Amino acid sequence: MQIHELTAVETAKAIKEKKFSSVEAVKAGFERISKYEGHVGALITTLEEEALRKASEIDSRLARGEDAGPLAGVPYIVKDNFCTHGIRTTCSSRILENWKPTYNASPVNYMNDAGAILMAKANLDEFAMGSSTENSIIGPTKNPRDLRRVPGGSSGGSAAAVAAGYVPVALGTDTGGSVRQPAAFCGIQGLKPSYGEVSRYGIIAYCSALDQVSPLARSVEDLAVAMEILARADSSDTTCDGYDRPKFSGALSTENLKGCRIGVFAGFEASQMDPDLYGALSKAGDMCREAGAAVEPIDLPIAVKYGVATYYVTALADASSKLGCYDGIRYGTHIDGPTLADMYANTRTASFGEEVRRRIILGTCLLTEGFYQNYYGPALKVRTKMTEEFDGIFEKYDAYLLPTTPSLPYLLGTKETDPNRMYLGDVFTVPISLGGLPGLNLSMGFNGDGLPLSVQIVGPRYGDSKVLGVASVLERMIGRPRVCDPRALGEVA
Amino acid sequence: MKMTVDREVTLRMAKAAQLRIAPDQIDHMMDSINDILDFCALVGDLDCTGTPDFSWKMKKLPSRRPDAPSDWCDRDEFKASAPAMDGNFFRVPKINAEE
Repeated sequence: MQIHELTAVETAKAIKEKKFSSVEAVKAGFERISKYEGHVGALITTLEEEALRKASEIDSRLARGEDAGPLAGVPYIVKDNFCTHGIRTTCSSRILENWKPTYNASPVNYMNDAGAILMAKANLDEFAMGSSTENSIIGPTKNPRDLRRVPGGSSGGSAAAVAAGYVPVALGTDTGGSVRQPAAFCGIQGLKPSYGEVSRYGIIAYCSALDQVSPLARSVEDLAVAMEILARADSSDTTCDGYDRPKFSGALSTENLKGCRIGVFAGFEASQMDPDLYGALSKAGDMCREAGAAVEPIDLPIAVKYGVATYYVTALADASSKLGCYDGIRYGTHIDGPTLADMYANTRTASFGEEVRRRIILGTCLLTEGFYQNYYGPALKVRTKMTEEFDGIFEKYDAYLLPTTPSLPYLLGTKETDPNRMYLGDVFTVPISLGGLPGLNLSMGFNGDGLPLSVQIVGPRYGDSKVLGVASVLERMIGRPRVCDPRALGEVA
Repeated sequence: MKMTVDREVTLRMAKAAQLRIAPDQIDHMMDSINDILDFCALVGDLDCTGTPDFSWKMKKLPSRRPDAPSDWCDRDEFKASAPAMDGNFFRVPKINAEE
């Protein structure tokens, strides 16, 4: 097996055993980037010189017999909405296109302290608002499994980089599905942790009520190891829980699912979603049964009917408030004007993309008199109802399986414009975000056309270990996803 | 209750958000907002009588940082990322044009 095909854990082990060096691992990643990035477009900024220098430092530390961390010398990538000290952090927006933060996001510090080597910063939909990674200052990212298709979003650059073998592990953020959906579209694993598990200090906010730092990888074991590095209390983020985390990788020793009760989503007919994805869900349920679990069909009526509307009211209102900080004064793009108000409007109108402007105006609307009482207030109560529905499920079941997406990755440039239909793409991911639950996208192989299939495994809040345990059993049965050489599965238009 | 916006409200919301809408884009923005308001009115359909507003619960409150200045960043480095500085001050236009 070549270096770029290894998982993060395998890479760390091989470096520790001196089968190859960290410098060689970094060079192998940049060889992939050099060969395929022109086709994929997953990266906004690459850091080859700095990565090689840090890899050399790690090699020296290991040569001296030092413990350089659990991911010593392993290459990784972060989405370009993580602040990186002295490294351009754009959020794919003109308003931050030349901004260099003066500090690192806490998760970046944690990964660096664990010995991992930051290789590049990945593309995203502007301010993480989107689900196709087409709305970016550098243009769209393409799906390495089929270059004619979107990689999903908003963490599409991170997912594409892992699938294409640039790195074994990447970090993204998931607000309403922004890691699970691109993981599904690119045929890899991705975990949105429970709300409060991982610090968001230094993450550029879209919706603080929902945003979660989330790892993407080609194995469940890598997700567990990433969680052990990332999930910890942080006094810089008051929304990050102060409890002592379990050892996430301990859950991976689960041999089978005997004694486990698993619910499988039964709220859709086969005709309501892609038949291959419907089949993947049934297959995952059968595999759980085969592994010894008691499996039962169960509906999710409130979350499925009201989840998407509740999500959009919550997220847009929050976004309009969060993005108020971009005023062109302390950092970012500045376009002058005769008055302060003119300067604000000049800067924000010219520097935010169309989708971001639309969401800010709509969010502003939702927080004004009348709209607040008819939309935002009811959404807060519906959200409570949804969490009660989830509580009821997890009183009976250890884990719950449902699709990650109702459709396969679609062709670039064919984004749905009817909001009613467009938002239904998020129907299975946003309820999990609203409930603060852990949700893991597990790759389930490919359909007859070579497109990735997937299933979502959900647990109770703070039940991330349970989710990882179930996922590891299923992954052993179906096989973990492999790196692909990016290519088009048909004629490029 | 389902609500809608008209051109005047659309422009007022844009102004509140410190954004401008080009004259030929106002109707498009208004229609787009109304489509989403129409879809999201669903949140009013569920009977939530007696249901409290949602709030997050934590297992354990996080530790607090000391309430004291810290050296979390270098002042000169921070100033260097500002678009326009006047010594130690951020440079901004006049609040009102006639001043």
